[in-house]
Amino acid sequence: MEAGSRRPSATLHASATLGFFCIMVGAGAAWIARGYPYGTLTAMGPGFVPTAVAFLLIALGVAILLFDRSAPGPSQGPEANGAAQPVQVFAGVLRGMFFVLGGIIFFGLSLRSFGLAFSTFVLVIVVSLAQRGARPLPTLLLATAITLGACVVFVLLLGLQIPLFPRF
Amino acid sequence: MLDHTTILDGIALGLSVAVHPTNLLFAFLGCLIGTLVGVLPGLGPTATIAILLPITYTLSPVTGLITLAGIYYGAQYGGSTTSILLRLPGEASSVITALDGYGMTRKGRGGAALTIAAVGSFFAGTVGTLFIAVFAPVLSVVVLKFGAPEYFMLMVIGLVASVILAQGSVLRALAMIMIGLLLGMVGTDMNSGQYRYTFGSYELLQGIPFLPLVVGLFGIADILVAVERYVRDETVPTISRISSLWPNSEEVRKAVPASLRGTVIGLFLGLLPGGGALMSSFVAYSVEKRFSKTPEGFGDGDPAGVAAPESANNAGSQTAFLPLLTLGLPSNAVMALMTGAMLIQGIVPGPQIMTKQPDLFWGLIASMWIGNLMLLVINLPLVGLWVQLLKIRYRMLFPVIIVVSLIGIYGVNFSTFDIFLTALFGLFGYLMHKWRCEPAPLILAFVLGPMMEQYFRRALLIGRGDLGIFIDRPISLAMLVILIGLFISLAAPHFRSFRREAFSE
Repeated sequence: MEAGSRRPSATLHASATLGFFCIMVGAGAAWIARGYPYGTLTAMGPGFVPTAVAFLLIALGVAILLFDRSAPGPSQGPEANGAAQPVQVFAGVLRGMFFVLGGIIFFGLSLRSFGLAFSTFVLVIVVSLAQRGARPLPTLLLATAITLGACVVFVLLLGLQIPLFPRF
Repeated sequence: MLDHTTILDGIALGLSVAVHPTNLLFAFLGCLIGTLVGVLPGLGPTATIAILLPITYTLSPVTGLITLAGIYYGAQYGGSTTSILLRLPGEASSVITALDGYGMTRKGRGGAALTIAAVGSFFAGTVGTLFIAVFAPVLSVVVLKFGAPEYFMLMVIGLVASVILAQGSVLRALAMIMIGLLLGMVGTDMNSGQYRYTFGSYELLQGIPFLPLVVGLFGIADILVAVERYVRDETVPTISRISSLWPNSEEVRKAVPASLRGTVIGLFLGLLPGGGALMSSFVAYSVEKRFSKTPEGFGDGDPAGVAAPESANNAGSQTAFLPLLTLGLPSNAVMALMTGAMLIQGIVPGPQIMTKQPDLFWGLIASMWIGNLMLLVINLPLVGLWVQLLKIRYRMLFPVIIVVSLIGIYGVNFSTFDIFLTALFGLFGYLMHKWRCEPAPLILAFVLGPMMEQYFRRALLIGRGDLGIFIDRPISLAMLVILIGLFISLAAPHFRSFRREAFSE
């Protein structure tokens, strides 16, 4: 039921990072759970199940490292075509992450003090930069339109209690 | 207790709830928005529901769930429209439809393919709804016999089956289940009051909020992936003109039996955990291909290749509600989202819904059928309009998605912390995509985890600390056998070859 489809990528590399990620998370979770009482099998404490799950995760991480080198790729949809230069792709990845996530974090920081209108406007502009070749004028128009739409729909029509304008 | 009158009374009650003007309006809006978003490139049903989930929180539980169900069906219909006309499947289960649907479009029969898909889906949806109405009461009674050990086993089976029957690497999916379980443990332990994995954060005492998690994993992660992809490749799709919407007599002759077979396949496969709709359409398609007198025509616009998978996936997505409503067991990501929506509304999915909240239960079932009817009415006449939507460029679309989902998330708790969490889970979802891990097992585990832990602890309390309790009780033992069988079945993964076959196109 997943939306979208998968791009073929370096499987070996992917399973190595995933395996290590699982081991790290599992170890971290088990380490933190040390502080929670384990209890007995009859009356389990809050630490019992987390520790068990954490160790299962570590085991799975190890298994992925060892056995899952050539995982059969899930659906490779029609979008999977079109190879690109690795360097370019990497730059595109960083750019997308930086602007999309950065925009969201900025929105979270500014919403309370600067109001919905300003925050939305900046959010749209920042996330639009995630794609190369965003032209200034269409982006400004888009930001204006979305800001207006968001303010009208969420605050005026749905009556959400969010300040529209900056409070000084 | 379970005679025909109960079911008929139930349906009557359901219809009276569903045709209430408010519910009717929201079912309509849900279908409309669902179709609209489903048609848009790059947004499948799961992402659509995740993004629109916050908006339904302000509604009453019945109306909210009806709206969500409408969005779900709408998004699926929308997805099949784009796969038929443009070979752009919005989600995995309409990949199959794209093969012959687009084949028909190339032959100038795109309009007919749309009608076949819509009518086939409507028929399957109707049968699916009846199926739920008849079997839900029976199942609910069986489930009432379940104790803590049985519920625990049931949920383990649900999780494991959803991994084994779905696509992708089993090891990775199991790892995602563990991560989902750990995420579900964050917050205050119900039995002891101990804070777990809260990292001293006040906001996490209540656990990780559902919305930032799903919007991050499905909505934002999809955007991160798409932004990167569309950087290289942004072309406005060319849309060929739609000829007549009416299928000719030969197409009807091929489509009707295919649709019937697809419906039956979908009804049963939809019950299984793990992408019911997806597997239904794959199996239905390969069954048609095997029994067809002209298998060489498949992939090149055979109407049966449209009718069967579309009917199957609609029947399957309908019956996927059955385990949720009767066992409280969500079988795929969409159902997990529904569970989350219910839990936030204060409804615990399971057999008690039917007895304690019959209006909700039957209202939802009846509105499924009404929703299917509405989709038939909305979709076919407006198909020209939907197709115009495809001209929307992604660069205009994704900022809108981000804005709508962020404001929606903020509007639920008025917490900016939730917004930061969304960004974090968006990043994690992106990594999962790179690792080729499906988000569905994680979400299922996150939703089921807290319940599983409770049942596990309670089961061992009943068994006085002896794990033998899972073997001593007959129903639990039977489930254990099924579970072991599931792991053994891994040795012979038939449907992976189905998948290969389908993608060999």
